[in-house]
Amino acid sequence: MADSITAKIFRYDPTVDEEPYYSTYEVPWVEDPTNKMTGMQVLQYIHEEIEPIAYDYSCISGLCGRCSMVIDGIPGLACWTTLEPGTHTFEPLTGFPVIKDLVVDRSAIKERFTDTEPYNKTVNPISEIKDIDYDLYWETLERINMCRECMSCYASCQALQMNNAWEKYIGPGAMMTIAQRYYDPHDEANRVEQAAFAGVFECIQCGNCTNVCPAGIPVAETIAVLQKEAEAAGLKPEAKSE
Amino acid sequence: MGNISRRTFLASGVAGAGAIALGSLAGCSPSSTGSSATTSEVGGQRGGGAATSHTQNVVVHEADVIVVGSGIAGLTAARRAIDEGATVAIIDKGPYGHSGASGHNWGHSVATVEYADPASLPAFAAGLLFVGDGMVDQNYMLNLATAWHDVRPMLTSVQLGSVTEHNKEGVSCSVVNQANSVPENPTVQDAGLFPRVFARQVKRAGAQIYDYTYALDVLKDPDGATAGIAAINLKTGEPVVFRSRAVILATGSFVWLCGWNGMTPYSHSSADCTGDGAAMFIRAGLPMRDMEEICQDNGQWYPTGTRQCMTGMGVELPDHYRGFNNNYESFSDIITENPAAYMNQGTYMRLTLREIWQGRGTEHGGIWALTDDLENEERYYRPAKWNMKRIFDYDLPQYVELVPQAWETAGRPFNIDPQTCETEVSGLFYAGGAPTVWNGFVVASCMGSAWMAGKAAADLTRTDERGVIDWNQVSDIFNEAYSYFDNTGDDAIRSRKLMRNVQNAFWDGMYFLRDEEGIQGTIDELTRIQNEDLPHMGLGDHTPQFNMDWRNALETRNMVTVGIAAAQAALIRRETRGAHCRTDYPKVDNENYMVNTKVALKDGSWESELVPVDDPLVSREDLIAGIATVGID
Ligand SMILES: Cc1cc2nc3c(=O)[nH]c(=O)nc-3n(C[C@H](O)[C@H](O)[C@H](O)COP(=O)(O)OP(=O)(O)OC[C@H]3O[C@@H](n4cnc5c(N)ncnc54)[C@H](O)[C@@H]3O)c2cc1C
Ligand code: SF4
Ligand code: SF4
Ligand code: FES
Repeated sequence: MADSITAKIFRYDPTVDEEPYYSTYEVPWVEDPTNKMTGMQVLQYIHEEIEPIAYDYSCISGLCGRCSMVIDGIPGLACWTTLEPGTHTFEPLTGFPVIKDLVVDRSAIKERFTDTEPYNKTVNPISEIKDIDYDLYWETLERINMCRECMSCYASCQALQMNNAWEKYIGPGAMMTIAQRYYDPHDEANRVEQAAFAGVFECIQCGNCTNVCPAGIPVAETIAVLQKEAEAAGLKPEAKSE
Repeated sequence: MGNISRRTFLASGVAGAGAIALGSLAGCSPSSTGSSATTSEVGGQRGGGAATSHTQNVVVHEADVIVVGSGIAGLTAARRAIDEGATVAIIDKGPYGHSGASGHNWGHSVATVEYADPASLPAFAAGLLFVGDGMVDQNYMLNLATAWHDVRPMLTSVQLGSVTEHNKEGVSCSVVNQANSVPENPTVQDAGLFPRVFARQVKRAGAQIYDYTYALDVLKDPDGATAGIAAINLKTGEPVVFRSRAVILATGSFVWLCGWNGMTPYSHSSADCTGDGAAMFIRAGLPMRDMEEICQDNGQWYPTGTRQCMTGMGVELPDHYRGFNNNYESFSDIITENPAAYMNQGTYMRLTLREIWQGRGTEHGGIWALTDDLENEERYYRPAKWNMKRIFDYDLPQYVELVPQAWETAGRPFNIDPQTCETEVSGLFYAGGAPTVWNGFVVASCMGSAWMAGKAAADLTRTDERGVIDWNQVSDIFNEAYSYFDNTGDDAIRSRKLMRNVQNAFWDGMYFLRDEEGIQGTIDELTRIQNEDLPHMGLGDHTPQFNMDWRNALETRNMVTVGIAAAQAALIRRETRGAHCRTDYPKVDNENYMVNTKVALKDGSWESELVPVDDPLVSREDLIAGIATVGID
């Protein structure tokens, strides 16, 4: 029982606060067979028992993607972030406008996913479902199915956050919707060309996206495949060739 | 961070395309001022500055069809209405595509009839009546079956971007199961319908999306027809009116009512499922059907910090209907041995509850699941062992404790037109998973009902003018909604706290094992909360922007109404059926209870009655003779 979590929480209500500040809370440790507590458990405790803080959630099961934030510097889902006793910092997702406390506005980046024309582009409507290799299905395509649009990859992406390629590069998550159609035998569009024009070569292969992705999508590795294909198709910009 | 009065936020930035008018509410009375389409009377002072003349501007949006809820039902209704040429606005209180049960976005299992010969559909519908324990409105089911066929759940899902399940040889489950299907049963089992691909497509197809927008109530024009929806933009706290002749309520279940275990409710669905639509139907004067049916499944107990949801983290088994009691004896063999007679979720639920009620349950009131061989089935291995290890570094034991949890509800308006899903209020439509929530056809029902409603709603707007907004009704609705900011006295009860009390009061008597005394206790306590506590419900957060306590207050009010309605229905079904188990009446009583429950709120008091099932497709006698009588005794 001696154990506890000290949570430093980013607070900001843009309608009343001149600037953000941090509040610190003590949260008692809850023992269970996993010997872990989640970020969500800590937030729930504070919100229920101490004072209201703003955060978003729905499933508490790692699926809806609504609780993404930065805990101890790493973007991810609060409900799937495991914590040990000690001090932990909770901040909103890097690079997104804050609505209140830990809630950010992700709608602009969500548009990028929708704009990829993420459905199967086919000349005739699909009337029978085609074969797909089992490994490709479970290791890549099924994982992209489960993309939570949580934007953790955007918050961690070096091309975006360090090189500021926001305008040229659609970003890792939306690039995965292009990749899903690239691998999908039903799709009849040229997705390699699309990846090239969506800035696939802006990715510097830092690997952060793969590390933070809760869906386990091999994001960086999949982008590398698209880069290779685009290069083979003669679509690599010259400036990037050295 | 000072308290601010509700009267100081007056901004009315108007966004979105389509016809937009600006109504305005002076002192929440109908006399209107201002009509600029961009902004007017922006009184931005926070922290209790001079309350600017009690004026609130209300942004008004218009569309042919308003869909409330962007789950798989709402999205399907929107697709259909757009396809029929209607302009559509979708309202959701959560983020678009991430809300409700559908927002879990896992690859739903679907038993589809899209590959079937349409001539086989009446027989299929008749069969479903038995799987649904008889409680299904038969004409509706017949139309629903045709709509499932036409909505093509799996092929559409693939077209829109889902990658559906494939077997080890790389062949789609639809293809494999189609080849194996027999004429007597035209359903084809498949998995991998991802609601989010529908959300993306509907957005691209031109629906106007208003998410983080909480629908408060249905507006009616003076002749009683639907005129629109009053809502609050939760991101800013501003009032919004949506004007339309056709409103489709696709707001999902009310399982968030089901108790509170300190971290989550006894449900593995979404925090958005608070029964707002059901409460709106009830307030609109509509009687409700089968409100007592709260569908149960068995969910994971650990880890404490995640919800016991079978799809993100949790245990679901390839052999779903195989559970073990506390003596590690399998208790559901009749299902596996005779699937034709017993394979439905209702039977499994009742067998589970029989073990628990008769004292053979586990420490936390559940059962055991055996996780051997999960490795061989990726679909079941991933959320269980793989995620547990990957995310929690936790090795799942061989036997895992699962506890009964709610995941869907069957309650819906009693009388809906079987071809259009229109309620008795002209222009007000229902779309959702009822009436087949406990037999595994839920997503298909959501899509089927929505397919009918979307078409009918679009048709209606071709013939009828948009209704007139009654600004008195609008101001009453908003006055009540904003009044929670004013409850700041010492006797104020924080909405979050009250929501917990409501959940616990409901679950005390409405847990899956019920009896007369417990159910009556729930009614009494919820009625007390309604009369004594709701008037003092206040907020712990005082600014309107993204105020979770405010949203919870609005939800709590609905949960009380819906909770009483469900308990009233449970009280009069004095037998065990579907998902409803009565320890004082543990048998399935086909002779006396081939009925639907009907509850309504009339002039402030509840009325309830039992109505014999209508039987145009399968006669009452045949239902009585044919429905399996597995009770909890
Ligand atoms: C874990 C889990 C697994 C499941 N597995 C299966 C399966 O394999 N197969 C199957 O057929 N079914 C399954 N189901 C059931 C199925 O997911 C649901 O029945 C279905 O998703 C419900 O869709 P819906 O559109 O009716 O409601 P929801 O998806 O719940 O959508 C309702 C929407 O309405 C919104 N809303 C509610 N109130 C308001 C308001 N006041 N204002 C604005 N918006 C509001 C909510 O935010 C939400 O977005 C499962 C359910 C769960 C929880
Ligand atoms: S690997 Fe590429 S896409 Fe992924 S985070 Fe790094 S730069 Fe961004
Ligand atoms: S790719 Fe992964 S990290 Fe990126 S949005 Fe999707 S789920 Fe989140
Ligand atoms: S709450 Fe849904 S992913 Fe965390």
